[in-house]
Amino acid sequence: MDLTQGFLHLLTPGPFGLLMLGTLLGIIVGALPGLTGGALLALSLPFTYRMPSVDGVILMTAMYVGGISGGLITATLMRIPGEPSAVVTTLDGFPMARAGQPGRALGLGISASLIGGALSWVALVTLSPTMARLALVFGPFENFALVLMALVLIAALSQGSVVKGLLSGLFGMLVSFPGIDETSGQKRLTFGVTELDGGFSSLAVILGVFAISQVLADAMHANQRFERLDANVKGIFLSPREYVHQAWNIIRSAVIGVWIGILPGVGASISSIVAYSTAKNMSKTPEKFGTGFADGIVAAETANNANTGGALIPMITLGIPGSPAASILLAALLMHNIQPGPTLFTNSPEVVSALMATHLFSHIVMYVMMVAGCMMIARLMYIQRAYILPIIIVLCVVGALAENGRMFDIWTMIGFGVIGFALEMAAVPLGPFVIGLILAPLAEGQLRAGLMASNGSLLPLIERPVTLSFLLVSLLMFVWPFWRDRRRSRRTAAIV
Amino acid sequence: MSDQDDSGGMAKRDVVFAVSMIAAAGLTIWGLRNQPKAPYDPVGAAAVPFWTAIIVLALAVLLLARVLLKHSTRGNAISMFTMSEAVDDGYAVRPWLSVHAIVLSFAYTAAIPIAGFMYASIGFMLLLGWLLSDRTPRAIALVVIVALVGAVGLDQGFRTLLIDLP
Repeated sequence: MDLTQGFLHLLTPGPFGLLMLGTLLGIIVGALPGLTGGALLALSLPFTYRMPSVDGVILMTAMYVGGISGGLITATLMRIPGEPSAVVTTLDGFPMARAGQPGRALGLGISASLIGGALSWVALVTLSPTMARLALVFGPFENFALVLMALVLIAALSQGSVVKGLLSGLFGMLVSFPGIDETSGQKRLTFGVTELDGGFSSLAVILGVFAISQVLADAMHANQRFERLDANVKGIFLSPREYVHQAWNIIRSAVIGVWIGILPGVGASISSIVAYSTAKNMSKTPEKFGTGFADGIVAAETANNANTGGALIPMITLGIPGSPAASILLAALLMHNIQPGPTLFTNSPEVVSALMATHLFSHIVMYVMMVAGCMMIARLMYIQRAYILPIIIVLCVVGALAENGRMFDIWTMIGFGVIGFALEMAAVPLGPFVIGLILAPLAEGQLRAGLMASNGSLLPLIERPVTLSFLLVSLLMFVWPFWRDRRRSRRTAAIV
Repeated sequence: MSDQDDSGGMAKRDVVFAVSMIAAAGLTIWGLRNQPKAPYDPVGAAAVPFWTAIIVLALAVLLLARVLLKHSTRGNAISMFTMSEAVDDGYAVRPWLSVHAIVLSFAYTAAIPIAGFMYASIGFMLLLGWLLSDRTPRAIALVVIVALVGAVGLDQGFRTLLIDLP
């Protein structure tokens, strides 16, 4: 892998234009409530088919970075987080903006995002090759145990009920099973429906769950209007003293963001919550958090952008996405017949270097665009949903058609849009569903390959130290929320 | 809405979710009943979906039991979408608009093979835009413009990109 090649490729007009376009679209969609960066990635996926794979990766990585970053604009100025990962930013960003320092609040968030992203890029570049080398010694059982751990981790850490999270992930797996079984060539779970012979199109399901369900959820807020924005960007550039003052907070939050990003399946929202809580717990003035305190904004924004680099590490080295949004990037690579995993570094080094170079460049472009245009982007909030939402659905229809030209895929997409909307209303996390959908074929293939090699024996799962440790972590993560709830209810009962 | 109402509503949704998962698992197990065994594969094509369905069944029953025993099932769930709790209040949330959007989306899908992508899209964008707008003359005029320009533009644009539209 030659990183210089990646940077040089990015400096040519076409790829650089895609980088700018992707970052800008990501920021805009990230800033708008209702549409998330994940939905943008899902929506863009079919349109990258005809692009060379490297260009598709550049566009989508830039969108990923832009999407995570854009949420802070409306979170800070209007207390409306465009992305779930920007929710924590509202706690201090909005009070600071309302106290007459909107420019400083934005400056803190944008600068923290840039530095968090840049630090995570360092982790991406240094840790990925090592991790890929380690992963080369993984056999089928190790890969299966890793996928299992990813599912349990995302279910346990998605801040809701672990049972609902796991059910969501397993339901995603069930959806991936119909069609021709790759190992035996037999049809399964097609129920006599010819269209199901090829299974549900992953793209149609992802578009439904990420984009259509979001439109449906957003439709009920169609009459929401926003107050006219009266703010300026005075103070958006921070002084060197401010950077020095925040240095430790930035480093700590970046490490948290990268680490949580590396954990399979856990997204940027968790990073910002953990970094914010840690900053508050370690602060000498915790009472200032939530009142417009700079440390709160910096911790949240550093962590959620640091998560992006972290989430890409398991995606490119193990083929396991570090966040739900990264799972769409993974799907994009698979559609271009690029198999992420340890061999990616030797088989498609140009993809790895383009992805890494884009990750860094798009953070720099994001900084410039957001400093220059944050007020303009915030004003896009005034566009009524009545004009945007129908266009998104029509775009999704084209996206679903673009893959195979089958009407069945549109029905699948709309159907899963409704299912995703219902799951969202029942507070069931959708991240595990997407991860389950994408990872199930890998998990099944690896398990069956392992069983063929061991003559049907499952003993290697507990005999090998790596698989055993993955299984133990999965078990702990599954049991821990129940144990925690039990302890809490006992403590509450004791107090009562 | 009081906390009690809210938790009651959530419990009902959890029951519906758990029952749906039981149905999905049951359908999977039923669909696998005649799956032939593969001669050279120790587990066969049915094994992984079958055991996944069994685990889904077990977890759904566990969820149902927790709801019935009034244990917490929600935690602090974070929406993958924008957190509506954090959005400004002061406007009425209209769930029926989502229901209308669902019905219109199905009708739109059904209309595409009959009317063609462009005309079906114009109709869909007009209807959904009208439903979601505040129905002022200006808003309706904009909905019409967006529908016409959007549908014709997307149709022509994607045909140029060689995407085969009905």
